[in-house]
Amino acid sequence: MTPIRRRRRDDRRLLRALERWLPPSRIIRDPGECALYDTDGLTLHRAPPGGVLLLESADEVEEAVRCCVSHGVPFVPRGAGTGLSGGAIPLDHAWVLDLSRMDRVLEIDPLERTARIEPGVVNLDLDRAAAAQGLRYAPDPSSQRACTVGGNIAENSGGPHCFRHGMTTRHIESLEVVLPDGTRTILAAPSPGRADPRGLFVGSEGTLGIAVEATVALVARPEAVRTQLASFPSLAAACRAVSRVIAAGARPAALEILDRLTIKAVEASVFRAGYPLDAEAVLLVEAEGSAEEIEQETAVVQAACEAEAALAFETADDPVARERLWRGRKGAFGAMGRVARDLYVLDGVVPRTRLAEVIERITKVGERHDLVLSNVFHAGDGNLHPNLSFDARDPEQCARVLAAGDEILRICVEAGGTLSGEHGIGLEKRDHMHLVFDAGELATQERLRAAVDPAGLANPGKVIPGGRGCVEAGHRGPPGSGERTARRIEEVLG
Amino acid sequence: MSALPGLDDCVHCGLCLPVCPTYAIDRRESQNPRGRIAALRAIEEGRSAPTPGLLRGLDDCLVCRACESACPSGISMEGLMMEHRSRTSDARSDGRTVAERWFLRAVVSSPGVLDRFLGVARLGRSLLPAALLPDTPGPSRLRPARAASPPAATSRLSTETKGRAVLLRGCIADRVQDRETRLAARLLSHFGFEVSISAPGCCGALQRHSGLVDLARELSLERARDLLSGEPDAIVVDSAGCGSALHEPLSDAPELHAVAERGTDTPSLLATIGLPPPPHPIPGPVVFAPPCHQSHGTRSTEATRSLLEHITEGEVVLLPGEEQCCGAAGTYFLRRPAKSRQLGERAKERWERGGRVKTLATGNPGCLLRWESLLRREPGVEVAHPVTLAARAYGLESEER
Repeated sequence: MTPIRRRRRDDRRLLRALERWLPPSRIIRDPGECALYDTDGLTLHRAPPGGVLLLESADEVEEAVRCCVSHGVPFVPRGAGTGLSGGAIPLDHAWVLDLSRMDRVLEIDPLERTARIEPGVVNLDLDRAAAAQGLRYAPDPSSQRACTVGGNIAENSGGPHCFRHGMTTRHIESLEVVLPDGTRTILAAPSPGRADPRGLFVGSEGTLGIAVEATVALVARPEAVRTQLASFPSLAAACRAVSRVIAAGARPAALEILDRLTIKAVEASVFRAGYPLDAEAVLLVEAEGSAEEIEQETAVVQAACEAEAALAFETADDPVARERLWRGRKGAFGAMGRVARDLYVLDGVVPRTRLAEVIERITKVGERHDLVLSNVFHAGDGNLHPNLSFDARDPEQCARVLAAGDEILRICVEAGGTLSGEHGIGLEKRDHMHLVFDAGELATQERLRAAVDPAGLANPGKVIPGGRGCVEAGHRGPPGSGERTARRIEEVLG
Repeated sequence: MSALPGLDDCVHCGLCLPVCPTYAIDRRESQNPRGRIAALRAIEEGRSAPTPGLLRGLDDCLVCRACESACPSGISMEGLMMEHRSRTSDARSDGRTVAERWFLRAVVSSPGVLDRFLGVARLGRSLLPAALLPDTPGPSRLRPARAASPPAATSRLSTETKGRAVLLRGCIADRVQDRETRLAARLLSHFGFEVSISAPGCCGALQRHSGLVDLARELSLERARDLLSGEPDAIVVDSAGCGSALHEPLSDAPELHAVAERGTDTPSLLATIGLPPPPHPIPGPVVFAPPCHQSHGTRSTEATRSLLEHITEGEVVLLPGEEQCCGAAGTYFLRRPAKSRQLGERAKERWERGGRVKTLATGNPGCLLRWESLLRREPGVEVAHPVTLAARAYGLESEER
């Protein structure tokens, strides 16, 4: 039997098993509808799923994974489909487990400063629920209006304010997960001297299992916040101003740069923020803390901007004006639709001090490949988002985009940086992993993955390049338990 | 055939997902704007056949336009759906589509036929048990319109004229809120405008959303000529759906653009003159449920909100989740009754969450009917057009029945 026919047979058997407990309205098999799940925020790649399940509870996720495992069918979790590294693209005709209906904030504990949530909760909804108790969920990806916290956990997402508050992984207290063999377990703080399973899981991009519930840490809302906007005659000047701010010892909550093309796109949109159109770059800086701290920091930032010949400098203290300044930044990705129908958002990281020089090299890559390249980035932590605008219907353009992307990633790594700041490796950067990991390190990662997912069914083809070990042999691991998986992980990690 | 407008402007960012009412119910990709655009692209590029699942997703779009206010790329979902439906409408032969087309072509477009139709509908409604017709609007509002003449200049406050204003009567709007039109005329006249009221007739808004674009264009041009005949300074449309349609011309005809330029609503027009404190303020609180086409089409909710605040003693609150459609959406409640009902239930939950405020203000015929039907069992609740509340506050309501 050919592999395709075998898969079709497996899919049919899986479907029969699913239909025993899942209502037909929550199983999507219509080929046109399924094809809508063939991509996420990275439209450079497409692969249609075998089917889509709209799941509503942890028990259902567990049951769905068990069904997939017992029929040898791969599966991929999905939230809002806003990921930018192709993490939710169902390779190998995997089935999509859509968790967006699991969107309840189950409990907020103001004393412990934690929230217990389902994975499909939208990031901003969690922050709003926390705000009602005077608290805040700090990680704030630009897609926070739409993206789910489950997806943030899978990708270890960041956001402008992660410069000060840390990425998603810093905010996870405990997780309840369905492991790739269908067992359910709790991952919490380890006893001293043992590996932290939460650190392993957060950012594993659906390859080590699916979070079905999370307890996340909340932080106090700051006493006062001030957003500052400076505009510059060149992108390099904006980058140098950032270095000056850091060198002067200031520690803003966020430091963001947008270049001219991005400014033009957002200013033409409903997200217009009032950024000056004559600037080559704008720098957004946010200060948090006591009134006194904010005054001190403003002085430092203003001096740094003036030293780099800033064209204008403004500050906003009231929430409405601050929100307006942030709108442009948060709508930047979508606004690029005004330039071309597809956008490839890269995510390389470089040492902060080398920002200006790296940006210059990246600009040249864009020019050499005759591509429209714009830049939005988290300057504070050196996390670049060079954006390549293109039309995915044109294979020749796609080839140029991929070649330019490859060069840009290499430049970041050469400059002492790495592949991803916050979008994850996914499908996008899988084949670049060897730029930052040697063969031994990759082999360890692969063994770790095989220990947790012996059948190789959890989000196949993502993160780790090349063969997938025992998947190809098609053998399935023994029916597992949380403890057994934990032991297997410990063995790999030594 | 040329590409659908705006189809090339979506980069799949997903910021439209949280505001889409149909996605809130189903959480299927085919039921959100990003998925609808992807579906149209896939069909156009031949990557997907127009499968039942994809077509259902496209049919289920309310054209509430909430996604337009969320889209960084400025895609007009109304334009996209209008064009898509116009291209596919003739090929459709399912009962609901045929019935809807007939209703929009033969009934709504002609005031005389509409009156007879409503007469029969009222009779049918009074004969049938209400349980069989859970989604049809209450009969009280659906009556043949009465007064067409503008009010005699009653107790005009100032002798100086503030300009000429003509009020649109519309078709369904004329049956549902003809009293409101007369009250608006009184209000505007009271504050010094020279008011006239147009002849009844359809502006093409409903046809536009169902893809009968040629008919919509023709009707809007007819209305435009009629509205402009008295050379008004302002064209006042207090039905948000009609206002939004007249706000966005379907062709380059100068009449349509003249209407779009002078188009306004009573609250916006009153905001230009500065009102004295009302002698009989509404006790309040009032909850404002802005019609989708006011929020995302004419984008004129601020004036209405300010007017409500001005005439209300208590608080004026915005309905929680106000960007989510109540499910009425033009002819949607006829075409997609089950989904419309679900959206209605959700809207009612939001009203409950917002503190069950007894006075609900909304300025669109579909929304008025929907809210009256949703809150009909709630004791002491009034669903009112903002114009009605304003007329009451200025002591002008009792003169109109």
